[in-house]
Amino acid sequence: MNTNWITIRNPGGNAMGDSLRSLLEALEQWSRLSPGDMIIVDMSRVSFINPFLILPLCALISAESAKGIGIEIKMPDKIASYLGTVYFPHGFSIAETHCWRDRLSAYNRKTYLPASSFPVTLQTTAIREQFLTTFEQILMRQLNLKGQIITVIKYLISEAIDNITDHSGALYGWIMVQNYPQKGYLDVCIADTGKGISGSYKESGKSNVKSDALALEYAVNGKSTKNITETRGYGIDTSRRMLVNGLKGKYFLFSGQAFYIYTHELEQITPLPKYGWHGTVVALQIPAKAPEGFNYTTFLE
Amino acid sequence: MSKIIHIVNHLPSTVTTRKAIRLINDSVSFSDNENVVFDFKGIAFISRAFADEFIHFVHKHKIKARFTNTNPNIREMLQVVEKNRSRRNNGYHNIAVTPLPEKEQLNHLLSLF
Repeated sequence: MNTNWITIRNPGGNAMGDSLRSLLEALEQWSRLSPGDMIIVDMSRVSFINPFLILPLCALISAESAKGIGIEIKMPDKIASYLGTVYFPHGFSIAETHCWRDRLSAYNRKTYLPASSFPVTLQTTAIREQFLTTFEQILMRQLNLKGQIITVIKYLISEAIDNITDHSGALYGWIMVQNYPQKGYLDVCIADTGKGISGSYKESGKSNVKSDALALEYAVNGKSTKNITETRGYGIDTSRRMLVNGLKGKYFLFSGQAFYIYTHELEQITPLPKYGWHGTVVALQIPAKAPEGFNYTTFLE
Repeated sequence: MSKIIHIVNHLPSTVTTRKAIRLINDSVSFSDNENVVFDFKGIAFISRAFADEFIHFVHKHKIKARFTNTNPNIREMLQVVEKNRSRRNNGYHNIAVTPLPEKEQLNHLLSLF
């Protein structure tokens, strides 16, 4: 058996693109591995990390571990403690954590919530809803915000999570939040390792969606994979407009071999050459304060 | 006489996913044209996705529904979904698809983000 190294580049900054660059480089290395390889993920150079890198790595490492692939992590000294408290690399799991509510409550006074997995199947609806309610209650206590921004944050998180439960076909979804009170925003990452957006379109018989890039364009335009098209497919479109046009935040959607970036200055779909994400990653940078005159209801459809 | 369903007895205070409707469907039976009051006391938030599924559920079961103790957000969400049941914005905007074959190009794009 070969042992292969995946070297995680230090993001070097706290901009969204810094962490996403590190993630893409890791995925590119991952794509070159042969089946059955033992993997060492070398994070020794990492001195700053945020949910946009931590969460996808947790989801990926857990998915690969579940296939029986041996993965060893070379932890960075500087942030080993933080990574431990966010449950890196296997994530906080309600199925595997005794007294999970008490454990989560320990985060009430922190500025982050751990990289957490939640069950997705229909049979796990009750426990999933309980977990998500607890997660959001703690988040709201941490943020201590007032007014409509609370509803907006809940809206953005709920729409991304519902897409996982409705479309991904995965057994688990993932969520992590990091709040930056001094900088005035929070980073939210939500991910799955399911069939991805193009896989969901193909499965629903929309065979004209021939690429991940086109699937992203369809999804951003609210083209539902379901047959009840009148009331479906609003989630991504409304979320990105509410976040970027309304709040001046940043929206990133990554599925298969393409990603979509939407900011106040930039809107673009970028296909990737030979690697990608098996599933879907949503990354949101949400300002903690709404601009003057913002009204979230004007974005609801 | 209306049947009263206290949502909080079936769902947590934040309702996130469409599939949560199952928790009501599995525990309460409804007959056609039944008068039902859905009491949202204790519910702080419902997602748009759940609101949509909930309104579908009400129509599918031909329930004569009334909603009480809805906070402004829940009321707004239910109204928006009900209003858009038969109306759809079919606008489509094309998004620039830009392949970036060189790593430097990709890194430059991400440096702007």
